[in-house]
Amino acid sequence: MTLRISMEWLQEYIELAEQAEELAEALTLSGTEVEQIVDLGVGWDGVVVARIVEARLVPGSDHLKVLQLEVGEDRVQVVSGAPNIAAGDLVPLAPPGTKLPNGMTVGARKFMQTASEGMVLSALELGISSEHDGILVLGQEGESGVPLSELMPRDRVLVVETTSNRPDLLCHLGIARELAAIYDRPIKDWHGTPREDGGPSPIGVEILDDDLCARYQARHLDGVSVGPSPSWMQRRLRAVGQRPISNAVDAANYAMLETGQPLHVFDYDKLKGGIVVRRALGGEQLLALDGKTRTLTPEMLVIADEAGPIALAGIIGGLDSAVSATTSKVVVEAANFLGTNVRATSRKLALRTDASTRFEKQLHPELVPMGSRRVVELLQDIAEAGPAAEVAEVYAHPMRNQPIAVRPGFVGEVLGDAVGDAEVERDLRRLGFKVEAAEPGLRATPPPYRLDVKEPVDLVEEVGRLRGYNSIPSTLPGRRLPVARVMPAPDVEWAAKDIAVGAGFDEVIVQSFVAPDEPRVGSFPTTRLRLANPMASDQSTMRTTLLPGLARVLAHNAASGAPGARVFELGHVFWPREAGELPEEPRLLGLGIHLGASGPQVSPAAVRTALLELKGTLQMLVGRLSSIELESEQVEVPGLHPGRSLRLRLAGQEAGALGQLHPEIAAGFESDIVVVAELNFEPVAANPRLPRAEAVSRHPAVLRDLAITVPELTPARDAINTILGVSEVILRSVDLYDEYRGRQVDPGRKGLTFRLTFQAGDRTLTGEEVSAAEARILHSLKAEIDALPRA
Amino acid sequence: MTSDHRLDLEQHQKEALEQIAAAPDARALEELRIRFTGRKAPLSDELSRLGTLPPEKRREAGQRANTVKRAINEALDKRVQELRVGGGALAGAEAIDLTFPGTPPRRGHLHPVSLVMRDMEDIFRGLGYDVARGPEVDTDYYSFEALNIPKGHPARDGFDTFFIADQETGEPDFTAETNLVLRPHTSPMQIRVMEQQPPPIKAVFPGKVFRRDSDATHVPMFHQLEGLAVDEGITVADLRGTLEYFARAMFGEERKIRLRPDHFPFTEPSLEVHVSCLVCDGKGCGLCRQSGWIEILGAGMVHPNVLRFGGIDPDRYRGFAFGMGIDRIAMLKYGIDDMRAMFENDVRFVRQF
Repeated sequence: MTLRISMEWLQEYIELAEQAEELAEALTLSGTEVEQIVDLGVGWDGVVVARIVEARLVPGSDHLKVLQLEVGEDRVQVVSGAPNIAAGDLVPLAPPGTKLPNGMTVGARKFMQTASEGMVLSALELGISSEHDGILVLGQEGESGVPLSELMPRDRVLVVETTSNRPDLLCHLGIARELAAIYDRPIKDWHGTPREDGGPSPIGVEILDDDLCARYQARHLDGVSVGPSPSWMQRRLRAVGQRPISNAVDAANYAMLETGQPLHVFDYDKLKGGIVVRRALGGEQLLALDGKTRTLTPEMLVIADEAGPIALAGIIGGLDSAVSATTSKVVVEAANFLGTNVRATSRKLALRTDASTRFEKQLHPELVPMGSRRVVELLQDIAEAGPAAEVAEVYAHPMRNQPIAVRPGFVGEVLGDAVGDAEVERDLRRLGFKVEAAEPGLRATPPPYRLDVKEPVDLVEEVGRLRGYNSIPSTLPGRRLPVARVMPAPDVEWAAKDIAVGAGFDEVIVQSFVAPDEPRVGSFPTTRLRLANPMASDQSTMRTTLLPGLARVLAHNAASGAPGARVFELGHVFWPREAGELPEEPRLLGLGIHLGASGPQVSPAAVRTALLELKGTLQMLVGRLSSIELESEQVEVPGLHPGRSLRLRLAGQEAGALGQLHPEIAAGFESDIVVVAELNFEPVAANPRLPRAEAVSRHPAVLRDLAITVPELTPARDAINTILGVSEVILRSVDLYDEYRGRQVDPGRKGLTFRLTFQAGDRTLTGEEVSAAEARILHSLKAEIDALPRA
Repeated sequence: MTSDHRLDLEQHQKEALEQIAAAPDARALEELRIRFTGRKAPLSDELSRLGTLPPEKRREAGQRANTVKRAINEALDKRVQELRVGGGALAGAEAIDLTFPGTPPRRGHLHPVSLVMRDMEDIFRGLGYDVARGPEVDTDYYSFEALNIPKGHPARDGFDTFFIADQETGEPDFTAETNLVLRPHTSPMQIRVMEQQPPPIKAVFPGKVFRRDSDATHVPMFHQLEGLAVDEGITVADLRGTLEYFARAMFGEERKIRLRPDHFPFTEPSLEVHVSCLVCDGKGCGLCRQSGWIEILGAGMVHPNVLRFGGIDPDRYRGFAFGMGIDRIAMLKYGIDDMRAMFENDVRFVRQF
């Protein structure tokens, strides 16, 4: 959470001579990151205070307003689109020619024929806030015509980002304590003593659900005069991006920004009976301070009186019990709520407030009296409040931080640095810990505002962050040899990627999300995991195949000027199992080649070449990496061209598909002709190849070309299997290198040409031997697949 | 002008033969041919002056000059042959113009994320780390609970987690222990490896992670590398040394690192690690937002609760863990401004790497 810390305000608690930059560096290196330093008042030259005299809609616009402004003796007309314009308010005005902190120069302009002589400014435009929430209203009291810097003197604001375990730092005092520890400097005596002799409390407090509320304090004050808060308070609130409202509300807000304890002020006269902290009843409603009515559910905690909820615990107050100009008696609430419950309610209602963001990080109940007493003191100082009544409080199980025992030398040992226990003790004391010697070692009790320090390693962090981690030495762990690895290394993935790259394919990484109606392509299961909270409805399920994604990538590339792309992907897909079980998550290897628009540009021969190249790439890859063989079967595969598709198998298991994307699906993807393939990579990875050396024959090989014709529809594989089926021991390899259809073969037949390599390991083959083997092969081809020798 | 100036034929022949024998190529040889046998050659001059000599000297002088001319011509022919050796007749008609641009073999390209992931794996292997992957869909238990982030913990908000819907109802079951998520970080692998292997453990886990976020520096699917070392006596100094070695190996010897306290529920102490800016070397520039430092990873000493969840005795063992965005480091390394460009999968983008 980011928080704005005013340097001027900070000085209230600690003496600081350092520049903001130096403090920022020191805070950042001790764990509280300072994201930015904002210079208030820089770039405000020329900005003056103006009073809104009159505001009317610009003719013809439904939101632009033309404002008549009083600037000292002068009258100025400007146009503004801000929603929070009210006559009587003082606002900052930048006349034409003013250069704003964001670098923009204000000019005289016309909006819909209405002249605008300058610009009224928001906190964002002045560099005070990072949010655009309308014009910065400077109250109603005061003179117009004076420079803005008179109302808001120069200040420097640290924008800090605290870590979620340190809600105690979300206030000026918290940051001051950090700086006090860093610079070893005392915290000033910063507050007075509230008058608390107002007699018995007229209001009772009861906690019904003490699992959600550890502590509740109510203080009653009389004689309050509601009005604007004093200018010093308004200035500080504005400097940190807050909008002053009234002295009663501002006092609570100010005390929170001071102590970190969220506080609320009720109008006592609007309460009916005592305060009850309880879970909401189903259907109960609360009209909140933001003007919206919310319906509550029983897991939400409310502050209620006899009539019903008056506040949503730790989040927002109710409008009906809020202080108003006529309020004279108030009840100050300071309480401690369970962070997880505040967070759940805040999320459920989509309502985050300054209070809820603090409570949800779990504040310490010991902060309650500190905040409560401070509001009382402020109300007495700035709102004429009388003495507070006795505090009405429920705190059934007081929470006291317990000492943490640390054995001697532990901190230095974990840091790996020579930090002695005396130094540890000194550092912890600076951070507000109580430290006492224990036998052996020491015992450290965290300060009362901290809940995040629980065990010895937490003390290591405290010492480490205060000393800084940049002075400790750099060493390497481990003199002991790790035991044999249990999880398989991804080496084979890299080998596969190298092969794909070597074959001319570029790697792509496709998002794993797909639309629920993505068409089926390929041979893998189609039931997909669904996301409960997708980013978009067309990204609401998880892919089970790589093929549609690759086809879309190819189409996208062709459409954006990169036709002919050749891509591959190696990534997980998700195949659901039983409910609640992890899905099967095989890695798949996908390949794709873009060929071009259908029509004469892409010949069937080109498609054939590309398909066989995909097949050859996968065969080579499987052959190089694994001991198993890639098998395939030419059958129809969903989403692929029915005459141009293969089902792939590895070790007898379904392992993917290869083919031309079906023309209908291609049309749906606005895709040209593309060929794609995917293979389950898991069997490849699970069966690594271990090459075994075999002696290379020193005797010459004999090559014979064998040209045959076979019936047109005979698959090439049948011819190859027939040749291999003869089991000639001297046949080394069969290479089918040509397929021919045309005038030189009979109609209904096609020609196939093989190169047969014969070789023996122990002798030089004779011509007769080879011819005899060749004759047996031809005989078998004739007998089994109706082959004929081609002249 | 008298004809007293006479060419020293012997000297001339000697010079010519030396130069011809040393001619490096056909063009130089052609220049020599013109210089020694052309119309303006000294020898031609000499021959044309024969007529001015008395007849009794003319014959002898003519023979001498012609002998020299013959010797030069022979030397020229011989040198032509010599220059052709190795090519012979092929050098002429069959010559190929090899000044054409070379033809590169067809070769694809790894995605920049892969390149960086591989570099990281190699660096950590060099330090004796194992490399393993893990499931991308994981349970709430491994993703949060066992990492010391119980239900309702505010740190959960920061993960922008995708939840898997119940297959029947389509509703997420946010409360069940077995509730499945798309892992929002690679940290679940810390627990998985501790469950499978006793210390000493040294391993890194690169892989995909998912978060509901999309802008110039976020995409809903990206990559992280998690590292874990668990053994007796591991220290913050060991973590520092390891990361310093990594930063130098990854970004260059001259890099410095800076550690800053941070907070993660699964480490204590927790650190954010910065590397001196790759562009300005620490002076301050746009990339490092004038700070001189770039945040590259989060790290810390494994929280005792996390060790316990992994079945390891925190009184005996300590560990450190770190996690970093691979995509972000690829962006830094290659000067990529928009993370989304990496996942548009335009091959012209990938081919640059």
